[in-house]
Amino acid sequence: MKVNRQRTTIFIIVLVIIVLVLMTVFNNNHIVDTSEFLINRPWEKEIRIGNSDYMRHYLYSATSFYEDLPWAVRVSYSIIHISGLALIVLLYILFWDMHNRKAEQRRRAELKEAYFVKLKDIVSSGKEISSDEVRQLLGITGNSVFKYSERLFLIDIFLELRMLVKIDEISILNMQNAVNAFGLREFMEERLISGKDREKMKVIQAIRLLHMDVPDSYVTRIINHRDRNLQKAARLYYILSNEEDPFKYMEGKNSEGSFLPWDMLETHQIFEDCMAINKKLPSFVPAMNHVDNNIMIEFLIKETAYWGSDREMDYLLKYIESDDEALKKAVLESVSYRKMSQVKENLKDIYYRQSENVKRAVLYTIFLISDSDESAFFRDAFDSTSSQLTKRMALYCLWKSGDSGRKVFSQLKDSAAANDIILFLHVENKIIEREAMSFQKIN
Amino acid sequence: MREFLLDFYGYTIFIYTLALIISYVLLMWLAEISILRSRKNNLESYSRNLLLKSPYTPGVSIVAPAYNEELTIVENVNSLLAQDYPLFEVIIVNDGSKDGTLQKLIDNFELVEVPYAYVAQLKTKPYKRMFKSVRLEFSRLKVIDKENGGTKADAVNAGLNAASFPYFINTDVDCILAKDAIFQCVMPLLNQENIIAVSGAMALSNGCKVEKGQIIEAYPPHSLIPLFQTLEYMRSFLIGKMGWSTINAMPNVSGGYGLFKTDVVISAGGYSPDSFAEDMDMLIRMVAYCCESNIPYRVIQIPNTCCWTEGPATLKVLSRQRVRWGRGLIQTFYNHRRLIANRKYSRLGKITLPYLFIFEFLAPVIEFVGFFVFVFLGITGAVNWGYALVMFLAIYFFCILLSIVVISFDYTVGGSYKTVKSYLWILLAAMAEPFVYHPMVVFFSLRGYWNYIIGTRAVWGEMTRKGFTVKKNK
Repeated sequence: MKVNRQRTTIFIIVLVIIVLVLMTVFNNNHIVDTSEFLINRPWEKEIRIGNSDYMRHYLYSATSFYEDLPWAVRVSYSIIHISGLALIVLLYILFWDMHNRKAEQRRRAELKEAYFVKLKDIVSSGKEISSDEVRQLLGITGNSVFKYSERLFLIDIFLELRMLVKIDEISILNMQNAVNAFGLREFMEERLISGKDREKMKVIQAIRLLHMDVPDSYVTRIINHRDRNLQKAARLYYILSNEEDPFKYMEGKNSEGSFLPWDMLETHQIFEDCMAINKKLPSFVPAMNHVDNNIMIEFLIKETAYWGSDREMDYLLKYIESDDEALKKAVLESVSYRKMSQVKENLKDIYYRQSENVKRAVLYTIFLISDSDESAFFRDAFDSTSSQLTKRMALYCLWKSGDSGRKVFSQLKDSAAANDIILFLHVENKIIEREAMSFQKIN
Repeated sequence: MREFLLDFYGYTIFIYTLALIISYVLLMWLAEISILRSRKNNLESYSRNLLLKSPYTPGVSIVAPAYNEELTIVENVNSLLAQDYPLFEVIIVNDGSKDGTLQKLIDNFELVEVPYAYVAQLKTKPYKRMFKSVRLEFSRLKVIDKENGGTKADAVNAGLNAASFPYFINTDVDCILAKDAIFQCVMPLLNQENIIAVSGAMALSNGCKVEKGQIIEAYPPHSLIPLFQTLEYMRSFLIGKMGWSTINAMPNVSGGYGLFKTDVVISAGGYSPDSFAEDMDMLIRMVAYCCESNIPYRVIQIPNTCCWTEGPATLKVLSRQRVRWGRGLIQTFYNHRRLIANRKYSRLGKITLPYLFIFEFLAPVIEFVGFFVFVFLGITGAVNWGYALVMFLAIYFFCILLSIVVISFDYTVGGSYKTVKSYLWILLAAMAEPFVYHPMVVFFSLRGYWNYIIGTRAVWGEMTRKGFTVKKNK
């Protein structure tokens, strides 16, 4: 805020000077009737030094200098003046900023040196450490006051620790006590009320990362904020913190609007956190029915696979007939994830009506969910396709389908055309297979 | 008549210069908007934590062609593999190197040939074989060996045929990527809709201290030619591209470093092997494909330095590079002439291409002609030297201002360099550039145009590498 005000002031001053420069350069009327001027404004006499009007003299010299110049030269002069002025201002700001940043870096390093190791010990300590003990260990007395920027550095230190120490080795209680010892809870609550939008967003994220417990009221006030991203962040936090009706803002009109990949990542994480604290998730089926956005439906299909009931999973199967390939693939992914072997025959039925891209996903899904021998189906899939990628997938499924699959694989290999041999070698190769498994990719 | 023509010419050029200055001021303003927008809304640790665990994290393939790079290949591949991102692969395409590039890779990464069923979605020069490492720690690495295609485009297409992920990064193997290069480019993908390409800022690695494929200490180049290029890169990325990015009108994502949506690149036909500006050509074709298919798209530039590349250190190599760029520019304009000023092709067709045609393509021609006209006027006594000096100073002051703005942008976004001294060197380069470097670049561009017009056979020259190890020992 301080920086913005400073910049705005500088901007206004520079703008005024630029206007003055332009007026000077392009002014054509320099003859001033001083006698009338002095009669009307007798006080003007007072600013004269030694009976000479220096101000008017210099103004006249400046304006008359440009009087007879062609317009192109006047424009050039304007560019020189304005560029020169802007250069001076920019250099001043740049060096001032460099100086400040250096000082901040020094202070950050000092704080890190003073607290990082101690905090790491406290946070990863197996035993419970009380607030007073934490204060004592950190050497914080009642008189310790941290400036705004120092508190930001301290939050950064906590975040760094959070990323450094494994989650199961962190003592949440000790971390919260340490956060309180620095007065950071009050600081964050205050920023949630009066901070800038960007600050509020970061505070919500920091609260989640540091497993802090902030009263709902601090967040609910920004649940209908005009900034869509902040609004989403607040609503997601509300899911986690509210006990009575946590999914209130995911239903009806509240769920409308754009749904970005970032929202998928965050929402999935919130659901995971909810499950970790045994908070029951709602059914996503009603949402799927009234949402128009296919990207959101795709996401809800996948999330149903992660957290939904078997009954909800049955409902998803209707999307296998969707025109949208992404929805079909989402269903197949979900079916594989939940190992729904009962839908195997349905998948076989629809297989031949699909694009090659979806065919590969169907093959892989059947392979993953099947509890019986599907070698004949995979063989037929191999024989019936012209796509090398689909052939490769069929062979992969055969190769991984136990003895019977390997037998068919060998038969196909023996009778394969010279061009197709590479597909067999590809599937058999252990190094390539290792890569395929590590990526967990479908095609 | 002669006087009238000279006056007319003089005023036309003056107005042209004024328009150029105004356009730069607008671009600076637009770039400032983009830089302010790019200020992170999310906590970096929070974002990383999410990306690390999520099943929705997008995978990225890094595609890097290599031709005769034995001196630096190992360091560079290590740099590519050191990315701090959970889901990525590195595809090195050995484009028929004549030196020990492939052998160095085999020896250092313990590669073995694997029977990879290569599917050529994009046509390239014949693929020979693929190598993968037997060591688990290098399991992300794929090395494709193919016949030399003569251009980078052919090699990138081969890499795309083996790419596993929905996004890929096109880079050069001599580039050193910042550890968070993928992360920086993926974040805009997650936070905005319809992005088909993200361009990361690049800087020169000449002069930097490199260890184990990472920039340990960043300094501006010690020699003059790379120093000028450092300033040129900053200006291009932080003002030009950042500015165009604000209004979704970017004309180019550098071939040195850029993230693209794989299926859009393939649908647009892949990189064109006969193009000498394959990066610009590719982006124009991607945008054309999206506009013709009514697919909404966005191409953005991020201000963070993601990639460090070794720039030409000698005049000879610089000349070869710039002649090729000049040739590429005229070729791109000729090949995509139907897009220029065509409203069907969105802002690229309506604004950027006409702008580039007037202020980038024609600029060397105007400057060249202008020089001779000035000499003629000088000899015939038609020059008012006082006025000429004022006009020259106006342009010179504006150039310096532009450089200072670029430096302040670079510093604001986190800075390529950490010391004031480094920026002072760049400032000195800015002061000397109009006298030393700029005339050379104009001349090389014109040679490129000329070569294209008379149809001289084009050859992709080899970039002479010093190698980081050598530099380190110094």
